[in-house]
Amino acid sequence: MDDRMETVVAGVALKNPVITASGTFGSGREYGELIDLDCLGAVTVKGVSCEPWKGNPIPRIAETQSGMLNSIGLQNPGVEHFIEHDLPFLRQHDTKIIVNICGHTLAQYCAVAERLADCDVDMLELNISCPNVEEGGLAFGTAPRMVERVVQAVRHYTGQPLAVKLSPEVTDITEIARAAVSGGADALSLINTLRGMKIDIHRRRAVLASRTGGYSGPGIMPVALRMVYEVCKTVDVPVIGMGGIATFEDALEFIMAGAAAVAVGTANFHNPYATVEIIEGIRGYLEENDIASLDKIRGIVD
Amino acid sequence: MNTYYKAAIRNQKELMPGIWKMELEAPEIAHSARPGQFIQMYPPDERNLLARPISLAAIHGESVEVVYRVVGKGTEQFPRLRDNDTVQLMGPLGDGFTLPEAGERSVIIGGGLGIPPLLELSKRIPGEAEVFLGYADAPFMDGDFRGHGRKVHVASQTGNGGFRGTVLELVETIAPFADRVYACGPRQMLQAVAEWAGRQGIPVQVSMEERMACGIGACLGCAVKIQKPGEKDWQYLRVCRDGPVFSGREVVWNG
Ligand SMILES: Cc1cc2nc3c(=O)[nH]c(=O)nc-3n(C[C@H](O)[C@H](O)[C@H](O)COP(=O)(O)OP(=O)(O)OC[C@H]3O[C@@H](n4cnc5c(N)ncnc54)[C@H](O)[C@@H]3O)c2cc1C
Ligand SMILES: Cc1cc2nc3c(=O)[nH]c(=O)nc-3n(C[C@H](O)[C@H](O)[C@H](O)COP(=O)(O)O)c2cc1C
Ligand code: FES
Repeated sequence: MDDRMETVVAGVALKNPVITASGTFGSGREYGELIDLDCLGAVTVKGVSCEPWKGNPIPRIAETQSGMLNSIGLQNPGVEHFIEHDLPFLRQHDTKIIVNICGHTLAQYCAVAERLADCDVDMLELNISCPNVEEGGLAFGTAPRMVERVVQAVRHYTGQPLAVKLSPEVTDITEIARAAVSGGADALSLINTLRGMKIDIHRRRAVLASRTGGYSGPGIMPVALRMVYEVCKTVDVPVIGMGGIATFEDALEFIMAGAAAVAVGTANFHNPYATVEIIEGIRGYLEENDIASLDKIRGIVD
Repeated sequence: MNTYYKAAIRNQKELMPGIWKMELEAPEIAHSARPGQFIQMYPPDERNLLARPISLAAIHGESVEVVYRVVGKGTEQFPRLRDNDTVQLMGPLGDGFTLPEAGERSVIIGGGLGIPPLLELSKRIPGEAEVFLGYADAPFMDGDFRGHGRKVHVASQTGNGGFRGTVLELVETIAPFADRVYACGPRQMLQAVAEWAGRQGIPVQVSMEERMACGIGACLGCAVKIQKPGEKDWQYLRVCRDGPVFSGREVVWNG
């Protein structure tokens, strides 16, 4: 293990700061046929709900300038399937496991957290960008009081390290970050996708069946970086930064903005070796510049 | 086994206006690929983040052939590539066609750019197979199927090259006997073929298309509604991993 690269997030020691972003990497099985999963700091798995979710109608994918839109609709086979099939697979690998969890009601979030409480996972990541069906479909992550409530509720059911994944679709990200921390978050991850749209002018209709979808990829990086920077200045918990990271230079920008670790999502689609190359690139940068640990540059931008 | 690497281009040529054939020096892919599998081709312009899924039209010893139509921002970049230029590829991907049992008779039905993905299948079917190809106008690649001794029937919307009408109308006119049906083409055609085969009780394999991001089964972008026999509800499966070939009877066509 390379000490320079070691990163501790909410008490979990990662061998390096590079994590996969939820929903872009499945449970690692498919990318594991190309890359060595053991070299990753952690794998964050696709959102898991208490019951299976079917997901959204097709088309679910659209390419855009500098990124892409998705409306997968959090399709997943449910927490029981995850525990039975995916967790044992991931556990064979020498990497940390972060389970992204989702729900449409407070009770659904709590049920997943409770089911996972005794399982061998390293961290939960609470996706609060889901629509709250009890509140007319407004996303949990948009109102500070709702954020605090859902984090508190989940906190009650789990002793595992708890990261809360913030939506950028808010007026003031720092206010939401504070609400999550006061609800009991041990770490924050940001950003989730921005809502976007693409229209096929020849067919004169939206490309995505659900009309709009989550925008990700290089185009969102400046926004993500600004939000990570602001949040790191506001709260004391570690931040997992993500949004458009495709190279080690991108990752270092997030770390210099204050991120404890980074997650790589859409870049995996463009280059399945993106995570591996980013890890090598960060290591090379530290060596070349004779930097003894990531702490020396973390949050260095004032 | 799936691989990700840059392959050199050989013999790129335009078969028809807007339809190109390209040979790729890709031994790793050629050695393990099966008919019906596809590759992800990355457009050279890095601003196009997502790869384009293209089927393998032919698998040789050390190379593979693809035939593609120039559609939009990604595929329009490929004709500019010259011999010895390289292109980033991933593959082979997906599950291919299941070949017939010994003694079974096959019918192969292709429409438009659904025709090239059937060529290698047609070559590898050991027994009898009759081929039906449907075009908008002038036929292409029909000679490649005749080249390995298949009986080929051609239909086109304009009557160019033989029968005027849809490929299924031609199939219904000739009413071939079949133990197995293989089809690739536009969704509407596949649905019509699946219904026709269903009425006769013939098993039918269809190769489906859907928009992809990862191409390997991780993102769930390329969903298709499938209802397995004995299951009370449909589910979304992945075209890139669980397909692209599915049983025509299991595809939920409407909705
Ligand atoms: C398994 C599979 C095999 C295929 N095999 C062939 C083949 O052998 N020859 C051939 O000409 N075409 C094939 N296609 C269709 C081909 O992938 C599209 O025509 C191509 O992606 C269009 O890209 P573009 O950049 O030109 O179009 P754009 O419209 O600019 O593409 C925008 C985005 O939409 C996607 N997209 C657009 N049309 C399709 C489509 N029909 N299917 C899937 N994604 C699409 C693109 O990949 C890209 O991500 C196949 C598709 C699939 C899923
Ligand atoms: C196809 C796709 C699926 C995603 N699924 C999830 C998910 O299940 N849960 C979640 O919290 N975020 C999900 N995300 C968001 C990513 O984890 C990440 O926050 C976002 O894409 C920004 O990072 P990127 O630009 O590196 O992709 C998804 C993103 C994509 C592109
Ligand atoms: S394209 Fe990602 S699952 Fe098929």
